[in-house]
Amino acid sequence: MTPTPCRPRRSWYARRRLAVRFAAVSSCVILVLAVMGPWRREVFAPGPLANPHAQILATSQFAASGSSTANDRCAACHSVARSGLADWFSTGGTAHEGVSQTQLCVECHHATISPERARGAHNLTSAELQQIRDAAQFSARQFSAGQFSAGQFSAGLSQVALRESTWHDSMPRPAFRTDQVECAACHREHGGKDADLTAMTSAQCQTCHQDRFASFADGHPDWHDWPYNRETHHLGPYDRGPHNLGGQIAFNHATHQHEHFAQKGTPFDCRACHSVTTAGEIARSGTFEATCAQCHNSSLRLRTAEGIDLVALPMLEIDAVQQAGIAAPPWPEEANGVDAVALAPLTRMLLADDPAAVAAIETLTDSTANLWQGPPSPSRLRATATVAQALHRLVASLAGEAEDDAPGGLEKLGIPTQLSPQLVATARDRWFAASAAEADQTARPDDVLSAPTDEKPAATQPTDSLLGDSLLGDPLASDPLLAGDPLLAGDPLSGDVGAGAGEGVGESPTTAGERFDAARLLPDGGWYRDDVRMAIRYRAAGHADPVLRAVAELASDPALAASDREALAGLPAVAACVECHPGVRRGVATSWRVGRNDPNRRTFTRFSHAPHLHLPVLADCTHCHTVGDPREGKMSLEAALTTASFPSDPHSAANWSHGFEPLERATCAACHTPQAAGDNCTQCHRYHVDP
Amino acid sequence: MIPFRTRRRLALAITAVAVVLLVLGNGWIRERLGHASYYSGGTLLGCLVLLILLGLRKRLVMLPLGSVSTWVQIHLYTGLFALAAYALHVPRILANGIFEGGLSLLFLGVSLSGLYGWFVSRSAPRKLTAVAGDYRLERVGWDRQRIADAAAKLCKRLDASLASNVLADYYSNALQPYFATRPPLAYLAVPNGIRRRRLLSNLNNLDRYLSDETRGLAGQLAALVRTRDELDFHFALQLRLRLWVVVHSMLSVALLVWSCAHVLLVLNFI
Repeated sequence: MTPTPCRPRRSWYARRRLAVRFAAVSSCVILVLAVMGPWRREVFAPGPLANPHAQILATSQFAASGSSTANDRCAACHSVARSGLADWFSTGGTAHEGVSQTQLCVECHHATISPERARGAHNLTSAELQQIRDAAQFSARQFSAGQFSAGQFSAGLSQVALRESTWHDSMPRPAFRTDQVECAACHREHGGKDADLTAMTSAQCQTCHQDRFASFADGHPDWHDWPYNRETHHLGPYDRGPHNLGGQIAFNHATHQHEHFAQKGTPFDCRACHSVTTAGEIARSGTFEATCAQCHNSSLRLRTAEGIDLVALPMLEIDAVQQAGIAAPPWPEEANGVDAVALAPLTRMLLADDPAAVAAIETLTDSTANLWQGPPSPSRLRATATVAQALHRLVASLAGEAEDDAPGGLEKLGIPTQLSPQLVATARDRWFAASAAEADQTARPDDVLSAPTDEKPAATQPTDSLLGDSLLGDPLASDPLLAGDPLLAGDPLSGDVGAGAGEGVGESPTTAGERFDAARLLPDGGWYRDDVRMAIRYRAAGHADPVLRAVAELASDPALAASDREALAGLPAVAACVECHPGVRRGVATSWRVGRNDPNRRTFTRFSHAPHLHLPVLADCTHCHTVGDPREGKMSLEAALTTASFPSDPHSAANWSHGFEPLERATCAACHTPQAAGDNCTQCHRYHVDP
Repeated sequence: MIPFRTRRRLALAITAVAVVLLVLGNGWIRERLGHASYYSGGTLLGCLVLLILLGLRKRLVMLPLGSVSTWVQIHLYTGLFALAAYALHVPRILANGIFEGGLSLLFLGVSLSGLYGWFVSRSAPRKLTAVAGDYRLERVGWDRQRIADAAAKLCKRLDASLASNVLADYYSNALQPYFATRPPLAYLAVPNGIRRRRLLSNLNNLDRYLSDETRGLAGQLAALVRTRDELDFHFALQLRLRLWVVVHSMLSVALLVWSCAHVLLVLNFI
């Protein structure tokens, strides 16, 4: 019998071991094939990008440009992708040395995020964040001490700093320093095309914040004057800086609704001024012509008609100068008297480049206080001569006959001028040439001793049309709306140049009958010569007068000395502008307009009326915006604080008034809950803000 | 000795606490805008290494590393914990991307095979005990042949009578293929008594055509059918007990390789 040949068979365990080895080798081979093949990045991509990034990386323009983005999509965001496979197991080479992922992000996003600020919390520097903290603490101290002003109170930050600590404050702190915030801290990619790269929980938003709270309805800081005074919030430079381009009108809703409109019997319709735009937003205001002119145009024209002096010859003791043997230029006899160096603000500024003139003006200004203590000192007489010479040169310069060292014109002040040199030349000839001729005469008329002053002579020019001008007509005086209007607080009539000059003209035989009637002959404004005041003046045309605009902007220029700004702002015509446009800033044309802030500027808080207006109840503006009632004490303290009066200092933004009752957080929180309209931080707040 | 039920409850409780801690830690990191995926991923990798150590322990029998039973328990509950870590780690059950998706499939395959193994290792022994016979998987073929030979030997005893012809025909047409072939895959997948019942029923139907002598042979053939069915049942269940380990091991080693590659990728693309 033949034995059965031995045919060894693998045991089950051996076969299992073989299978495991096969699996190990197979997985390695697949990996190697994936790594070595041209499809490497497709295979190892941890998932599709979000739509915006995917579109950018896939777009043909990158391929056409031949950029690294086209050749290596991963390298657009991952510097390591630029290195070779061997670098994975070494130091990584130099391909990504010193290049962070955030830098790569900013390579594309530099238009909206400054590379230098990209890693700062909120794209702000530590110093700027500290400013915000300081502002909050300052407001808190003011609030707690009861020394808050309207603007400070409105900031709402005081509530943040005042709030008591809660257990939320002990929640985890951020995993990074606030000056080293990488983009990937919040924006996580490879979540798929529909992934929301900006999705953040409220807890995540709060992790960097010192004071935290449970939800919008529970613990969120209150605000009081937002959104009405959002331009004036004391948040450091971020809401008041040059980027805050939108202007604001000092419009008191309370007095208008309950006094002016009520007296007139006109319904106070919000939509009359705040119309709904095509985008569904609420216009912050209508145009002056459509909304304000009906009641305020006449009074405004009246006040701006006061105009401004460009050059007004002051009273100088030229006679005494000449008697002292000091050389002095010809000077009008009407301006020859006791020194009264009250130069017009613009004149002072035009002479600011002449140190001798500036020093002389200061000397005269100081010494005029001691006028009656004795004869003028030689130094004062020399200063008088210097001022006269400087004004001569200035007038010559304005007349187009500038010397090398002559002062510049209005252009250097940034004021658009259509001043005719011929007008100035005529004035110069009339004032100085006549004076030179009269200087040769031994006898002078006695009735011209006190001409060019602001004092109004008793006589009235019967023919002056300003008094009969419609600007002064009954409709204005009888207008009940204007009875309490601050625009009329200072009687514009009393300061009207036409009226004042008209009174004096009659006594001056040298000028009687030649006095330029600006009110009648320049109804739309313009430059003219006032021989009574010995001045080159500008009569404004009313609302939006370009010269007044420029002067008002000049008055807000922080580069100017405070005294100059105050002098300019104190001009009645300029004050009339700034009373309604307190936020005017030089060089920012939109600061005059009550448009929305720069739509491209990102602030901490955002709000859109459009989605709210879909709800019928919210379509009624007063559902959220309650106008205070100053009558019978029906106004809250906070509203009263911001409605007290028109500001004595129109540039003090804290004094702006709007007349609204505070917009309480509870009003918003009624709908903005997690179950309803949502209460996530990012719904109303931006992370990336512009400095 | 801790009772089985108590031990299971204790282990489940510990696992649950660990999962809660993991979830809290993950949420804590996520809320502070940290990269929670590093935390959950690191935990997952640690779990993977711990799970692999069971295989090493089985090979290092000479070292005093605790009983394999203890290691198996650790393996089981670490696997459960790893499932929770995986759920926290990936944005969705099946991750995006080709490689990441493959890694997900591997992990899910390992997990499912492990869970199946856990289930079958608990249920199969009871079923095997309930069925008569004591067969070893390696000798199933020999046992199968032995039953077939016994059946063939019985058939050789049939004479040329009509009754014998009936039984011989049935043997050659139905019983012989049954005894000679392996059970079909359907039976291995879902062991059942359909074939046995059908064969025995048909055999019983032949009874009226059989003589007393051949009826006794038919009864012996019926006993062989039952024995073969019991053998097949043992084979199917033991195959399950062996096969899931193979699948689990293959997927595990592939998962380990791909996980290492994943870690390298992650560390390089931080």
